[in-house]
Amino acid sequence: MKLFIKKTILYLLPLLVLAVVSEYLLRIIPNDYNKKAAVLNRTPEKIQALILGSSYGLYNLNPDYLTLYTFNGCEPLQSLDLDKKIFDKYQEGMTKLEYVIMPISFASFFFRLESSKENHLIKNYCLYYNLYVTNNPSNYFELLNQPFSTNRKRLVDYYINHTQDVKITDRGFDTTYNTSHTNGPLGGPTANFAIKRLNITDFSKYMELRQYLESIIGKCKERNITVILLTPPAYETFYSVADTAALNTSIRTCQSIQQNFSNVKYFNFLEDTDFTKDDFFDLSHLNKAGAKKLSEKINAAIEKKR
Amino acid sequence: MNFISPGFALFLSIVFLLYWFVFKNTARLQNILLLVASLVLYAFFNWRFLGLLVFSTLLNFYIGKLIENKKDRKAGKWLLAGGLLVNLGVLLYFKYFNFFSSGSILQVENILIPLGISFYTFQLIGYLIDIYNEEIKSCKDLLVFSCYVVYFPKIASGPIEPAKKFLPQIGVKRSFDYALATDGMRQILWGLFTKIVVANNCASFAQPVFENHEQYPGSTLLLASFFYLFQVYCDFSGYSNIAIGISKLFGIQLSRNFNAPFFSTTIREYWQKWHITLTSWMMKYVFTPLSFSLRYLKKAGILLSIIITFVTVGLWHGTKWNFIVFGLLHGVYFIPQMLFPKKNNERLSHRHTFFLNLARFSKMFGLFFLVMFTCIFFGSRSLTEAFGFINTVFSGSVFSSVVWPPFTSAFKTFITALFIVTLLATEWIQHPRSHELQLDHIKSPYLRRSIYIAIILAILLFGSVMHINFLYSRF
Amino acid sequence: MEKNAVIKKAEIIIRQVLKKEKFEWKGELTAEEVNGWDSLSHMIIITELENEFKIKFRLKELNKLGNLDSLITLIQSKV
Repeated sequence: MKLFIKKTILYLLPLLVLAVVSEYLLRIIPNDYNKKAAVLNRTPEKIQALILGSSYGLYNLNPDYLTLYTFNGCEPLQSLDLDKKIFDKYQEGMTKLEYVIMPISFASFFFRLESSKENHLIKNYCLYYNLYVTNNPSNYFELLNQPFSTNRKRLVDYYINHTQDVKITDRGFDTTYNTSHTNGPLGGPTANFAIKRLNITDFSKYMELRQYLESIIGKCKERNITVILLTPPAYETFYSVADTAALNTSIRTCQSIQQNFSNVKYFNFLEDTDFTKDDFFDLSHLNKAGAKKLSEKINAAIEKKR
Repeated sequence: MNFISPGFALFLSIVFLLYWFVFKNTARLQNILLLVASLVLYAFFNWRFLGLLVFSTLLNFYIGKLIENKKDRKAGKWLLAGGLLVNLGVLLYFKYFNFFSSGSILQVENILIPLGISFYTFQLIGYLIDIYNEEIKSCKDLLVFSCYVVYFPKIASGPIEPAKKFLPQIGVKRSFDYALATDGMRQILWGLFTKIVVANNCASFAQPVFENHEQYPGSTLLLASFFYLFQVYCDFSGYSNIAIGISKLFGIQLSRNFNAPFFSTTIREYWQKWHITLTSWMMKYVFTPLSFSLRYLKKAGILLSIIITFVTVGLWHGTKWNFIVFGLLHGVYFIPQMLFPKKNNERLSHRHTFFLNLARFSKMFGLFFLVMFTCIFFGSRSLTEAFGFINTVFSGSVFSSVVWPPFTSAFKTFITALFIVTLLATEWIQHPRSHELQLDHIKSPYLRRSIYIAIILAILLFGSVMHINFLYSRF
Repeated sequence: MEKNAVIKKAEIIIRQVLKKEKFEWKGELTAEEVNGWDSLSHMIIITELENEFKIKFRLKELNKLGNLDSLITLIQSKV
C-alpha cells in the first residue's frame, strides 16, 4: 500500500506542480478584469465619475468624452449584485467621486450572472476583484473554472503566440465595437433572443436586484453623489411587441426611483431620435460615433448640473 | 456521472483512503463504506431518483429470496413474473413513455430518466432469472446485495455485471493487492486517453456535422460518420476502462466490456467484442429463450430470434425509430453468415500474427463500413434525419471537398486520425491482454514509465474536454 | 445408451455445426473454451442433438450445464 501511494504521488506531483504553475501563469495574463481591478486598487482617488453596469455601459459610454475623470467599470453580463459589490468595495477610496452612471437595460432587474449559463464569468470577480460571490470552488481557480483545453489555449496564445485579447482603454472603455457605421442591416441578437438566452422567464429576482441598486443610490446620497440612470438606446428592430414587459418594468422602476431619491437623474435614450442606424454596431450596442454621441449627452447633463 | 472532474477525483481519493485505512478490517465495513459512498454519489448527480434505486434494490432482494424459498415451481414462476413486471414496468415507464406518448393526445412533459436505470434494471432482471433457473443462490445479505446494485463505478453506464461474478467478490474481505491496484491505475489512464483525447476530438468534428448535416456535402458526412463511430467507441470503452480500473483500486474485478471490436471479420465476432456485457445479457436472457422456443423453425427460428434480439438492443439504446432501425440492421447483417456459414478457421484471437493477410483485412474493412452505416441511425435525432444524411452521403457531393466544421481544420482532423491509428495499433499489439495498457510483459521499467508519461502528455496537450459527458450516461 | 456411443454422435454434430475438421473431445471442456461455440451455435447444436437422439431438452436443464460431460449425462438420462 505504501509503495502504491508513494508511486501515485510520484506521478501526481509533477502534475500538481504543473497545475500550480499554470494557475499562476493564467492569473497574470492581462484581461479586462485584472486591468480594471488594478486601476480601482491603485488610483481610486482620481475617479470623479464611475460607470457601472453591463455591456450597455461597456461599449456605449466612452470616458474620453466626459469632462470629469471617468472610469468605466462595466463588463458584459455584469448584474446589479456585482455592481453593488464593486461599489461597496471601492467607493471609500474614491474620495473625489461625484457621479455614478448606470445604464439600466431590460434585463437589469431580472438577470443575475451567478444563476445564469454564463456563471463561469463569476470567477473574474472572485479572482481579480477579490470579491466573495459564491461558495463554488471552481470560481476561485482558473484551472477549475474552464476546461483545461481552453486554459491551455489561453496559455499558448499569450505566452507562445504573444496574442492578447484586451481591448479596453486606460479608462475602462471597450473598443471592440469602436468602429464606423455598418453598411447593410444590423446584426446581433434581438431582445427576444436575449430574454431566452438569459433565461428571463420570471420576475422573481426583481425585488432583490432593485434593492441592490437602491443600496448603491442610498450610499451615494450619504456622500452627496449623483446617480445617473439611463435606459440605453437600441435600434428600432431590437424590441418587438412581445418582449417589452421587462423593458417597461425597468423604465417604470427607474422613473419611480428618480421620484424616491433626490440624488437620482434618469434619462430614457430609447426615445431619443438623435440615434440613427449609423450610430449602432449591432441592434443594441453603439459604435464609435454612437458611443461618442451618448457620452457627450451624459456629459452635457453633468455639466449642466455643475 | 462524470468521472472526469476534480470533484470526482477528490471523492475517489477520500473513499479509497477510507476503504484501505479506516474500513479495512472486515468485509462488512468495506461494504458499508462502498454503499454509503455510492448512494451519496448517486444522490449528488440524481437525488430525485435515489428513492427509486433504493426501492428497486429492496424489492429485488426480497423477491429473490422468495423465489428461492418456494418449493412449488409454479409459485416461483409467478413471483419471477411479478418481479420482471415491476422491473420492466419501471424501465419502460421512464425510458419509453415519451416514445409511445409522442404524437398522441397525451400532452405530457418529457420524463426525466433516472441515472443508470437501463444498467441496474438489467442486472436485477438477470439476478432474478438466475435464481429461478437455480444457477445461483439468492443473496442473503442485504448489504452485499445493495452494494451489487448501487456500486458506484458501474451504476451509471455499466458494465452490466452478472451476480454470479460480482456477489462472491463483495461477500469476502478484500485485501490490498498492489499489482491489481497499479493495473487499475493503468486502465484508468488508458480510459482517460481514449475518452479525453480520441473520443472528444472525434466529437469536435462529428457532433457539429450530425447536428447540422444539411449544411455539409457528402464527403464531410462520410468523414463525420467515421469519426462518430470512433467517438462512440472511445467514449464508451473509455468509460468502461475507467470504471473497471477504479474498481480494481478497491480489489473488485468487473467484466471486460470491449475487446478490439474493429478487428472482427464477421458481425458475430463484432458483437462478441462490442459492449460485451450487454451482448451477453441479451444472448442469455432474450436470444436463448426465444431461439429455444422457436427452434423448430430451424434456421428461420434462429434468424427471427437474432433480429428480435437486436431490435431489442436498438430499443435499449434509445426510444426513437432510428434506434430500432439501428438494431434491425445489425440483426439483418447476421443473415448471410447464418445462411452461408463458412468453415471455422482459427480466429484472430488464436492465431495472433503480426501481419494481416489481405482477405482478412478486406473483411475487417467491409465490416467496419457496415457498422459505420448503422451509426448514422445511431447518431441522428430521427429517422428522417438519418435518411437525409444517407441521401447526401450517396449523392454526388461525396466527391466534393470536405467542409470543415467550426473550430476544426484539416490539420486538427489529421491529428485526430493519428490518434485513432495509435489506438488501433495499441489494440492490435495488446490484443491478447485484458486491457491496452497492461504492460507487465515489458521488462524495462523505464520504457513502461515513458509510455505512461507519453500518454499523460498526450492528454495534457491534445485532450479536449469540450464534450465531457459520457454518451452512454443517457441510457 | 452407452456413454461412448453418445459421445461419438454428439462429436459428429458438434464438428458439423462448428465447421471443424478436427475436434478433440474432453469432458471437462466448457462451451466458452470451444472455439466457435457461442449462443447461436449452441442453439443449433441443441436442436441437432434433440433430432439425433429423439429427445427434448428443457431450458432450465440447459442453463445448468457445466461442461461436455454434463451434456452427455443429460442426453443419457433422456434417451
